[in-house]
Amino acid sequence: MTRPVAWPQGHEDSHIQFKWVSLVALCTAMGLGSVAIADAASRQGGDYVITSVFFWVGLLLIFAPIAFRILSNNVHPHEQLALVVLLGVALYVAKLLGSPDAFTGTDEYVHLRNTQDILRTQHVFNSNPLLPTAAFYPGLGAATAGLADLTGLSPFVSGVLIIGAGRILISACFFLVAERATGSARAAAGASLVYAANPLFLFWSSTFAYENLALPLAAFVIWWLGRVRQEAGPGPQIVATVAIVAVTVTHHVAGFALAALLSAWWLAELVIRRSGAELRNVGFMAAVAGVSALSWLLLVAKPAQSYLFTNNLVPELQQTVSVLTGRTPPRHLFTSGGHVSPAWEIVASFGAISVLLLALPLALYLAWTQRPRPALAVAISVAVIYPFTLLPRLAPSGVAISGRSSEYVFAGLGCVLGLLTAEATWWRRTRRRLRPVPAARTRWFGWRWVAVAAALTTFVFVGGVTIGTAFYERLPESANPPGYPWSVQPDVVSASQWSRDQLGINQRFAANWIDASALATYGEQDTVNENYIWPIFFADTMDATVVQSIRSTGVRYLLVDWRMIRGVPPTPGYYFSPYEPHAGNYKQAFSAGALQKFASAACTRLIYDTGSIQIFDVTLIENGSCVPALSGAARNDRSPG
Amino acid sequence: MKRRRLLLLSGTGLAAALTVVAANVPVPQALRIALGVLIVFVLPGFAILCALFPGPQLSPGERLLASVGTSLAMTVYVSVLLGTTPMGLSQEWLALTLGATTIAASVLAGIRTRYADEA
Repeated sequence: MTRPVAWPQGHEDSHIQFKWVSLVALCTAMGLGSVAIADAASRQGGDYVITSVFFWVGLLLIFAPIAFRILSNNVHPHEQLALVVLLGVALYVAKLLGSPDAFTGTDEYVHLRNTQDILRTQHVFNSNPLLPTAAFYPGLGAATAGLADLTGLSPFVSGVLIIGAGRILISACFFLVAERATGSARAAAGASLVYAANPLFLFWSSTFAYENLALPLAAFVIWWLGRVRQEAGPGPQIVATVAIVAVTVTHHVAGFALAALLSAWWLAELVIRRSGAELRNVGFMAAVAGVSALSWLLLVAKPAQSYLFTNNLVPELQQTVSVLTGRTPPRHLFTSGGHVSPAWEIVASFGAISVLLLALPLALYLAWTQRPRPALAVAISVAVIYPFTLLPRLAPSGVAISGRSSEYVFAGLGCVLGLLTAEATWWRRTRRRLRPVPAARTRWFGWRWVAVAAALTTFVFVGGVTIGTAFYERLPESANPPGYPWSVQPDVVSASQWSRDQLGINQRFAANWIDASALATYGEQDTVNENYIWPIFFADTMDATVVQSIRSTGVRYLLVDWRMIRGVPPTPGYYFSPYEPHAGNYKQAFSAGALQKFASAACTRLIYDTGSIQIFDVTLIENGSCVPALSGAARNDRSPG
Repeated sequence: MKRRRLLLLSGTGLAAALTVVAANVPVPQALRIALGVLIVFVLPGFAILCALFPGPQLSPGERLLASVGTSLAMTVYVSVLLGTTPMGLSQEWLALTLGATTIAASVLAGIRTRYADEA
């Protein structure tokens, strides 16, 4: 039996250069230090221009030296792999530095609630008020709860460790898969750089969210099957099946994406190799992945069907078509919440996309002319999707599809562009055709090409970061910011903890969508879907609509955040729900009168008040024992004004 | 090679047994963290891989990477499974399930490693 080449094989004329590795690691450490300074300054309300300089210098110190080194000539593949993993971990740490003691991302609260519920009940499938679908994919929450149980660590630290392990796994597995697909460690290094430059890699892919555990496990399945596909016996299938099931119970889209990728691989094997054990093994695993993902969706995670298709995929695609056919005006890019991105970031974003679009045809041609490999064929078929994934970005709500697809599409895109990167650093142009650089001139000639390739990938990385996250959300928000905040504030956390201690858990609460995250996690309250409760807050008086909304939703407590009157909402452009008036199109802040009505209504009771944050008990309205319109005179105005 | 693998497997089995014990009796927090991290991220995968691939099919680097992937997948799988049973996902049951799986796989791996090397 021939042992397939899977673990990077060293070049005969190269070895690990610890001097270079140390130098690159030092640059990475300095980069992280610079990002830490930016985060600390931003937390203290430092000037954005200055803090963002430290942030970008830090990111460049992390990315550029690694890019230059791993694309250089005669670098040992083990060194390339180690530096790719270092890049993945360093960018993960860069995200952690922004919130080193608690989860602060929107999705992180969803999965923190899952974890808390599992720790409290010791069972999965609890109701999750922030995202009901998430409760039916409990892989991340269960694993985190398990680690917290076994170690006694907090859910936060446990979650950081789980996602961190996932980051190491996906960095290493992607490099190895790309090496198999392209047949070159240097191309794999280029592929890893391009993948790390996808718009979500720095922030979104580092959050405590179920996809960020499922994707590394899916990458592990792909690497594992490629590595052991020629091994006899049931061992490879047993390990792959366990990992596939783990992906299935962790994330819906990742489960289906894995099944699709394995099916494409099987098809490519069928066309290129036509027969053999590899074809059977990959086909069997594709069937296992497809059946398990579909069965889980249809039999267990039933609410996910409407969440995925009716609520997200279909309307977003419809909106995209509507924009493309001219029936709906396109979204204003780089503007949200009254903010406009800095001009240089807009240039960098379009520049990065342009570089990718210009390089793609050449890279596809190069990949097409390579010796036929099933894995490369799959990468090509994924890469050609990239231009089309940009279109939904023009639709008002299409960012989700366009943005989220990059985690998948950049896998294929990375492989073909990595091939181009590797080839470009080995070839030189003569009068008639491209020729390999003579060995004697490799060092001198290659250096310039390596610099160009490293600079371009770094530029694409910078552009990706500017595309992936609104500029004002890259650094932590200061406590008590001047306008309407985009993240949970410390006083909301205190109010949430007070509600848990004084009112008990799982009380029906209504709040804006940012504060609801804190109430559902720090307060462990049952926050009501904001699509149903926004009329309670928007009405100018305690009219019949408010009463009806309170009764129909069973809301017993209202959390009123007076910061809403300070400014318009940032991304995604609403206070409560995309269905509220002016959602995505606010010109002025929330009406103070609409919030004052709670303090002056007879049937409400103010039970918590810190000035900015108030909690009202509306139980009397909810149970029908008091009707505001029929009650006595209004009480004194207790709004903080 | 064989001696080192057997030593590692012995250590794996011992750490798994200690994890089960630590879930039921008070132990220093640092030890609990070390054992918990090992049983979630490394040990079950390493034992299972050694049981399934007792020979030199995988290089040390590959074995380490696959151990992390398999262990993480096992933890997800077992945690969700326990969370659906009446026993529930508790420290004791998770430690027992992962620990017992690791010990059983270590024993099988030990036997297969010896056999594979002798063959």
